[in-house]
Amino acid sequence: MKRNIYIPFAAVALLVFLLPIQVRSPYYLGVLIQVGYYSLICMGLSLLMGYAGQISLGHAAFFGLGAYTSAILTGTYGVSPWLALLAGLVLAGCVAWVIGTPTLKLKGHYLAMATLGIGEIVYIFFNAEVELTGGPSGYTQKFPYLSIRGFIFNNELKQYYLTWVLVLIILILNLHIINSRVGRALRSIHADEEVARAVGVNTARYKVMIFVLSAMYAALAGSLYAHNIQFIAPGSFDAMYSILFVTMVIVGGMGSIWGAISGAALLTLLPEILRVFHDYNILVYGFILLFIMLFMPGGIFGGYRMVWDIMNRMRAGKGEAKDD
Amino acid sequence: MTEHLLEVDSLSRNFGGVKAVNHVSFALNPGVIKAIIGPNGAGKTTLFNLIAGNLRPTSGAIRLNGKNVTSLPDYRMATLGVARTFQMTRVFHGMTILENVMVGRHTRSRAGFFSAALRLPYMRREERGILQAAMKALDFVGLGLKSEQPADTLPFREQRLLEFARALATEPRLILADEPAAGLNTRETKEVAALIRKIHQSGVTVLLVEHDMSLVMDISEEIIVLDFGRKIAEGTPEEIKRNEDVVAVYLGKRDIDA
Repeated sequence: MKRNIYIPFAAVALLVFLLPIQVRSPYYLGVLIQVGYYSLICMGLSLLMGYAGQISLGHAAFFGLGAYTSAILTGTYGVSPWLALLAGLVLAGCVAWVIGTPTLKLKGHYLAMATLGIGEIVYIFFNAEVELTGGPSGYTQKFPYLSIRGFIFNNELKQYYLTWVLVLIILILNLHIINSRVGRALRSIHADEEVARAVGVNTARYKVMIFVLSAMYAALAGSLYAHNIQFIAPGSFDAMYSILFVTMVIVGGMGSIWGAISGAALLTLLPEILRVFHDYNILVYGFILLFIMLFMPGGIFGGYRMVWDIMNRMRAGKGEAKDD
Repeated sequence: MTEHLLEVDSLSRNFGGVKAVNHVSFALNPGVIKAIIGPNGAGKTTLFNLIAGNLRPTSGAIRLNGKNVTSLPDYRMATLGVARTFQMTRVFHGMTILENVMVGRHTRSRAGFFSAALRLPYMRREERGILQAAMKALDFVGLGLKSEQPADTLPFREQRLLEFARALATEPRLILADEPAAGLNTRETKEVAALIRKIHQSGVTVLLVEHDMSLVMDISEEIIVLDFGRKIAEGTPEEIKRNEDVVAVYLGKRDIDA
């Protein structure tokens, strides 16, 4: 399949760079930055759900681990922000590895249960360790903005570009992974695990690695978030957010990187758009979700893919007829 | 003593009280086609799953080239040069024919997350090698022209050929073929027989489980007969045809004898 991955990528990149020309209000830039964070989280989660067939109900915790590691290391201990970000990635990756290694060897949705548990533990930790985290009222000490060689990302526009450049980098890395030996192995696991093992794919190991990767993406988003908002509280990392992330991936279309971004964008922007319905916005939101699930079971991106598959099949059918 | 490719030594596997495979021993010399036959429920597929690493034996040992490989997991067996095809053909859906075979190159390539994400030069070089080897395997089974088609659009017969191509792409020393003629008509069975011979001539040892006696007698050089988990006979097709125990099992005389 010689699908060119760079053309849609270039289109998205162009859109990302041009959007601020239209969107000038800091509030809406803030919303778009939020889309960027959720895109990062959902890209990893989509790989996990789409390829390893496993659900994580604890990604808000990894998001939080990244955020708190960055805030505490830079605010309390004066570590350089980029180093703190790296520490957050490593911490989230290690936690994911410890949870994933035993649970991903088992058949069934044990990872979902384990991550639900770890999500709760981390959430309680953020609340209870008042000395370290500031407890329920949040981490209130001052910590710096991210900066590169003296260039400080201290307003919405700069944060927007910082976040989305990182989203684009992770996006291209993911696209490369999907179209490689590793990606083929992941897709074969998705298609038939036993056969994948029969050709030599260490399926348990790949599942753990994809889970660790997805946790690290979430931690990256968390670090960026903390440095942007300059204040974090446990409320941003509770289990409801984990479920929101899973919903975003399902609505976007599992196993599709583009789907993950579409899902993150849709579910973040929708509440903003639905404000015109005032008190009824939740109701309309619910109806839209229901509609997508009923009529596009493959997610908004699955719909596009279905059309592509049908076209492919028709082409293949013609080829067959010519051969005979 | 000549070096055996595969040695199965007093292998047993119990499922509760059922002895699905009961102290079966045999040796496989490199470069032969050997068939395992027997009535339904004789333990053929269980024996296959034990050798391929899908199941762990209750007791006994399996040696590959003299190395003990008992209870190694299935993906390790693939790395060591044991490939298999499945009874109900199982191709990877949602991937093209070529990609299916490229997965077969997994054990012969190394690029990981990091080098794939950054598309390092060594990974690209490796990727070209994977592509070439996969095309070679597809050409070998005669599917080279269809490489870009989605695998699940192939007719059943060609899905089976695809399974062989995928197995060959792993560069196996031994192919375990589980009922390669199941679900095929006479003409298609002949086609598969020809392919197995061709694989054999390329230097790969073949162990097959098969119900189709014409195929077994046609291509195999050695035959093992299983019944109720026990090996009751082993020999050339001629010897097996003359063996009284085997005839008894297949014609149902066992009850009278017992």
